Amino acid sequence: MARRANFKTGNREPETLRPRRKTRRYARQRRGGAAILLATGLALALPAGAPAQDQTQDWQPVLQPSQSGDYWTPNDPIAIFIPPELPIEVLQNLALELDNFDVTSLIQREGDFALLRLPEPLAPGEHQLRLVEYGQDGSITERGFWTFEVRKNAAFQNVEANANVAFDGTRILTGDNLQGADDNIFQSGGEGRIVVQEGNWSASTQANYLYDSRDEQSLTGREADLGEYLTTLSFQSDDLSSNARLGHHDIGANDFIMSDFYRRGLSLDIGSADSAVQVTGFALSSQALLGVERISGIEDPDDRVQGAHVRLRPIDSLRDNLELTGTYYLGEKTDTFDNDFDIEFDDAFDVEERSDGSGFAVAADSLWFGERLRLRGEFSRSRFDLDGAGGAVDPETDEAYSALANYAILQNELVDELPLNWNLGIQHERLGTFFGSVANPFLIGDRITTTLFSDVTWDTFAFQAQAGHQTNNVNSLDGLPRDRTLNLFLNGSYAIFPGPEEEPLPEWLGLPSLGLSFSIVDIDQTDRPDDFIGEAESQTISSTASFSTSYDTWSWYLSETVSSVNDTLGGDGDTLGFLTSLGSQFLVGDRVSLAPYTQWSLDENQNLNDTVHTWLVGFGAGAEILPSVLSTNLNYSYSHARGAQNTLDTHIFGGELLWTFLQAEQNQPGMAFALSGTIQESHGSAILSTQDRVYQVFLSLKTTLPASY
Amino acid sequence: MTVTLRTLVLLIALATGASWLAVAPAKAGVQGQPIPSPNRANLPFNQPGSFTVVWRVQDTPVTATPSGEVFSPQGRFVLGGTVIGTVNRRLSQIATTLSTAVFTFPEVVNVPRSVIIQAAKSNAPLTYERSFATTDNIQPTAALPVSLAVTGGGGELLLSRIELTFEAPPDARFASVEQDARLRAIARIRFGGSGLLQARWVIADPTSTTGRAVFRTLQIVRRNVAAAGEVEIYSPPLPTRLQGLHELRFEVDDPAIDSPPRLLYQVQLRQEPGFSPEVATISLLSPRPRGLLDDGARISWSAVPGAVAYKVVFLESLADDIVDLEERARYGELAEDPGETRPGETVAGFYLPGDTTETDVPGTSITRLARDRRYYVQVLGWGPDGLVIGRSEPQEVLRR
Repeated sequence: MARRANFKTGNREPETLRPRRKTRRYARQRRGGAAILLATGLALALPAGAPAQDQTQDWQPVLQPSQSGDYWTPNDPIAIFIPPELPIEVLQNLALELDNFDVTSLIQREGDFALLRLPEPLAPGEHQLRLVEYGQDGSITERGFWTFEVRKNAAFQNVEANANVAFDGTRILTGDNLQGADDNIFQSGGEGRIVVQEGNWSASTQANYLYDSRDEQSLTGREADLGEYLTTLSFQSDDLSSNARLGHHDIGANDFIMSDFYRRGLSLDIGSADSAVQVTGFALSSQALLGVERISGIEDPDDRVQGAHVRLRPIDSLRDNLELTGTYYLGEKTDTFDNDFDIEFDDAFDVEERSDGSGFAVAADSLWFGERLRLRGEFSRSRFDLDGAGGAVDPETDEAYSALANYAILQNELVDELPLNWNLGIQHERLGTFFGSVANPFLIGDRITTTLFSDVTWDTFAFQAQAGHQTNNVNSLDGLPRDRTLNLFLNGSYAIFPGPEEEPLPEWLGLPSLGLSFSIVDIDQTDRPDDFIGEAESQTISSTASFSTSYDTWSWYLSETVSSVNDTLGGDGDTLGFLTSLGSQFLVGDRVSLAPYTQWSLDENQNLNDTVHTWLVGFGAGAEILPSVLSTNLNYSYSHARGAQNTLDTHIFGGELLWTFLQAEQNQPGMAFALSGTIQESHGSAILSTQDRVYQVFLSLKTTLPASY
Repeated sequence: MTVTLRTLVLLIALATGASWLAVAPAKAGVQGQPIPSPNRANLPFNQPGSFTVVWRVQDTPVTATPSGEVFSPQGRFVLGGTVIGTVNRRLSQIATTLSTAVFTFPEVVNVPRSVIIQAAKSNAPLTYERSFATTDNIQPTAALPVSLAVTGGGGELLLSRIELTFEAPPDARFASVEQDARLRAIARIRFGGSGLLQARWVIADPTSTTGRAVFRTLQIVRRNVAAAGEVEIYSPPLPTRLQGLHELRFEVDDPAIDSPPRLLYQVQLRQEPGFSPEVATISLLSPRPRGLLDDGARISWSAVPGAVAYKVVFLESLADDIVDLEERARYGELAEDPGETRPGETVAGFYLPGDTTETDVPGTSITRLARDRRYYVQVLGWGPDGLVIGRSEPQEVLRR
């Protein structure tokens, strides 16, 4: 289960730079060389007059009205009148800011006006423009401050619509062993999005879809179907923030009861604009859904969770440092086994598996001592019936809690002019044996865990260490042994990155980085039921070393993992495994790329003397024969396994030659012919003698339309 | 020949006191107690489990006709003498010889979570039992039971749930992405017990999804997992070069599963709005990664041909998921970003003409960055038609 930190580490705007008055003086922290450089551009752009004491001290720039009247459109230039009498010494020290961006260097002269043309359209909404003058004494004088509105048109502040749609028609030219594939195949896929905004209100909707003339290749069994979608209606004012959402989303709860629960459904949140309070009500499908069936996600009461989530930042002075959250849910789930992407392996009776439950979680998360210390605590209670009403097992009520303390012992301490950070933390977690939630399907109850962890970063060096102790059978069940699990994890990584003023690395070394990790998990049964026959103790060790480096036109990587499982009771479960990965990428000129790779693994059951060798080798290649017109892509892979699990040796070669005769542009379709195909050839191993050969060649007309408004 | 055999069978039947013409004679059919191998199995607590057993059944003589059947209609979970669950799977083989024969019935038994919970709550022994009969002697003979033990995290590795999603858009089960987009998938696996997970990421791209899908292996996965829990396995970057439909599967070789989970995604030959068809990579030359950003710090980058303007932006640095990192660490996953942060909203920035590739950070920008905080810096290059033609990866720095 993952619970995210809720506080940002670098989002505070310095108090000294919040101009709200038209003219304001304040001490400048330091006059950077950049200001001079940029202001020089402004000086060159505007005419300089003779120095005049009055004008240089008390002059006012004037923002000119937009070409569109009351508002600016996204591509309108911004013109500011600057008195022509200003001497060059003043002009040299001017800087213009649009929102939080310094745009001084983009200013052009046009008569007595400073004209600003951005390389990108201005986003619809309110904008702030500020003209400042750097004084000789280090002060900054705000000479002008304006807010103005950018609108898409008179009716709506913003209307945006874009869609990206592809449609391919394919004919099989030739093939063998295609298992009845259709001769003519049509496919289409794409997505679209519409946003409308006016004043405090905004609405958006986005969706994707897939069409395939063969229903077995479709998302849901239908030839054409909706994928995922989300419609949002928002209201944002100075005091209030509210959103209604229908479609696929995650309401943001991250606790024992509900975590990473991205589902189709409906939610409504309402809160204060300053994030002091936010309340969310939700009703979501219990299972992940695609397609138009169960379009809202909440039609089926047997497969739905509903509840509320509250987020509070109750103390003004600790607004960014203290957050309280609470979640309550009530729901049922019916596993229908019709998803290809979520698979539950509880189908012993070949019937629908039902579960239901309810529960709540409350949590407090806080940062103290200059955000060096993080303290988080959570308590949760669940009622969970794993086989639903009428099932063999009665519903159970259980509890869970966790406590986390994380302290930054060193926070950006400079060592050799580079920041050093060291965090040390401890977490204690207890989940009752029968704790469970429909809205947190990956959570496994029944454990008491204490974990110590430490992270160190310095320059491009990082090191993590963690040690944990865990026991199970929290509720002391008669028929269950108690395991004691110890784990240790170490991970280090380092990248060599010489700065521009440092001595470069030897050319042959490129820009290298390396990583090392090691983990050991030891499980010991400390308590067993009477006449227990399930003795099981083990020690699991893994270590990985990896190295990669990059040069101007190529890069390569190598990693080696060694894993072992040692059955400490002397059973036949001892395994030892090696996995080696090697790969590289090459650019040959501007037009050709090549990426070969290989993996080799050896897995050995030491007691049973079973050894499995697996070898994979392949490459991907791409070439722009005529840029933007004719290109080709090829891939090849060979897989081979020998030992206890004999499988076929398989060669697969695929490729495509693409001729784009109409290049897609915004609101203009693109069209291309593609000649593509695959050859798969399988050979029997020493034991298996099956041979299988598939080849297929296609001609496709590919069309695409990127549309936007 | 047939007469001779029938005579022989009749003689044997008579010798054992039974008549082959009679229904359900006492000595025909299953002989002795069928034997399971192995006769014990461990099941991880709190999740559905499964085990494999081979039943060995001796049948003498094979009886009424050469096509006689040896069968077991169902299996039973028995807790302390009480049946708490049944498996309605009929095991059956046709006898093809007339001599004494030994039949073997391999069976993969799925054990519901409810059975395991009931066993853990009780101190009574849990067994899995079957009885075997023949068509000419339907009086069933009980096999020796398979003794089942409910274990904690130390038992055999079993998977109880696999969920595939895309990394971005977060948690999506279907994605329509632009050509050359960075795309990865995540397999979230809930498991019981401990052991080595052996799996492969395989893919069929548009060179075969338009006909018979041919899956090539993208990556071999080996992951030691221990003590029951959840593990996330990231796919390698998925191919997004070819327009069309792609099908990704996560094939688990050990412990074996019935059918692999899969995801579909569509690649579009298209433009990202506001970006040119080919966005060049800008290399940020200074400051160095995780380097310092002092007052008047210098920023330099590699040029993009055709750029009319550059925009240098400073993004807030958001804390990453502490617990997530810890859980990844637990299962030996190499953390990809040891810095534990990710770029957030834009805080400040500035524009420069297209002939510039280095500058001091202007005072208007640097003063918007709080001291002793981390930020990300990124450079974007614009072409003459208002499209982004180059961008750098966001790079973390420390404001001093």
